[in-house]
Amino acid sequence: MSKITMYYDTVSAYSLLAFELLVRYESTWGVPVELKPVTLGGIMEAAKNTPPGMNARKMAQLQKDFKLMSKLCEVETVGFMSNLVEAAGKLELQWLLALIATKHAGDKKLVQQSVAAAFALRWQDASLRDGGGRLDVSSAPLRAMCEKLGLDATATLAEANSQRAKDVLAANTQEALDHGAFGTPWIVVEHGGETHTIFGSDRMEAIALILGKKYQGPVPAKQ
Amino acid sequence: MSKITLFYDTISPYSLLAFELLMRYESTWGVPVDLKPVFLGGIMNAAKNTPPGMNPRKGKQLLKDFRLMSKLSEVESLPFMSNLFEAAGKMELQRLLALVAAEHAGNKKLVQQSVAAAFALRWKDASLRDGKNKLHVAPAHLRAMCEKLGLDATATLAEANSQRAKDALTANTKEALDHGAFGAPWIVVEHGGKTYTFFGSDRMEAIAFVLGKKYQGPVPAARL
Repeated sequence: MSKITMYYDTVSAYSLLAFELLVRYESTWGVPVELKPVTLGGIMEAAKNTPPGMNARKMAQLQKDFKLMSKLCEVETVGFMSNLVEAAGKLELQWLLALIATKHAGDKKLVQQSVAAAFALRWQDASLRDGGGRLDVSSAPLRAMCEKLGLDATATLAEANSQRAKDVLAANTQEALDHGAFGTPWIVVEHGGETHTIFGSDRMEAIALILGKKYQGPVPAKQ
Repeated sequence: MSKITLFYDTISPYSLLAFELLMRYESTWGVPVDLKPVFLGGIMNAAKNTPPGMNPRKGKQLLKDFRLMSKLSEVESLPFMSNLFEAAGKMELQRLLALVAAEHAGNKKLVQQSVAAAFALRWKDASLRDGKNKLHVAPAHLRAMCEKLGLDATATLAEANSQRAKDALTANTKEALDHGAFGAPWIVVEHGGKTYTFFGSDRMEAIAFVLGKKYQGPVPAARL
């Protein structure tokens, strides 16, 4: 059975694009997509990699490229936060997603909604950015997110900060590393007895080739 | 007038893919593509960047990814040469291309053929690889390349080692850097009074988007 696994961190701009594209194609191609939160910082460290944004030229290009690719992919975003490094270090949101994915493993729709809500917090909600583009990385938006998902905010956030949730995030991160990851989004495609690894959000056409499916651009017709 | 400029180094595998894809779309979209050889080592240096292949995980993924993207793009290619970093430092081929581009600026077909021939030496001709997949580009190969292009090999190769050729390569490299380059391929698209920069060979759909043209996959139908 063909399967796609996406290892993502909501602090990763291109993870947002990969998420949206893969979820669109999940129904078009009929190939299930499993969403596994990881910590990008943990991946970078283990892979002896450094964030591209730390190189001035790369950061300048990233800003332009992400804006253009978002427009091409018809994904709304408010752009890079000015406190990207700080946001990357706040793991609570990733722990929360790991917890929800584990606790509600059978409720695919809820899991997807939680991921969408988390990406929205980081990349799509202008009200969480101050005048200087700084993202609110406190727990307050996470409470509102839980409530909107129909979860008990207090209990869920307490569990998100538990060892269990941290262990799940660490396990996912190790799994991505075992698949060769050095950044996110890291996509694993299993098909026809083979396993393929894909880095970034710009390989949908290649994924289609592997699966023997048709690539229909960033916004495919539903199946 | 819309225009695409490809800053490339023939040592860069994704430059090969970008070159082939852009050549296909040049006729399909009717947008001219200017091919400018650069020295990737010089770009890396000035950009304070390091080759991704020097990171073991990235190196492993690059091998797999290039194989997959070559297949998708229907571009024939040998695998990465085992002496990539050594080969990257040999500037002669890039200087030769800079010379041909300068001297034959009006002969677009010849310039394109020279670029294709250079990529073939580094990425397609198995006879230049030894038993350990090391690439060896000998003077005889460069001579044969010149001859096949209908150029006087002795004169051309002498000029490729001249200050003029070195200056042309350096000027192109600086131009790419002025456009923000930190690697190759570096693609600059001018359209509607705006300038867009792209890194890599996987932005054809985005280039179509800025040009207001249709993306038809890696192998488009010829221009209607």
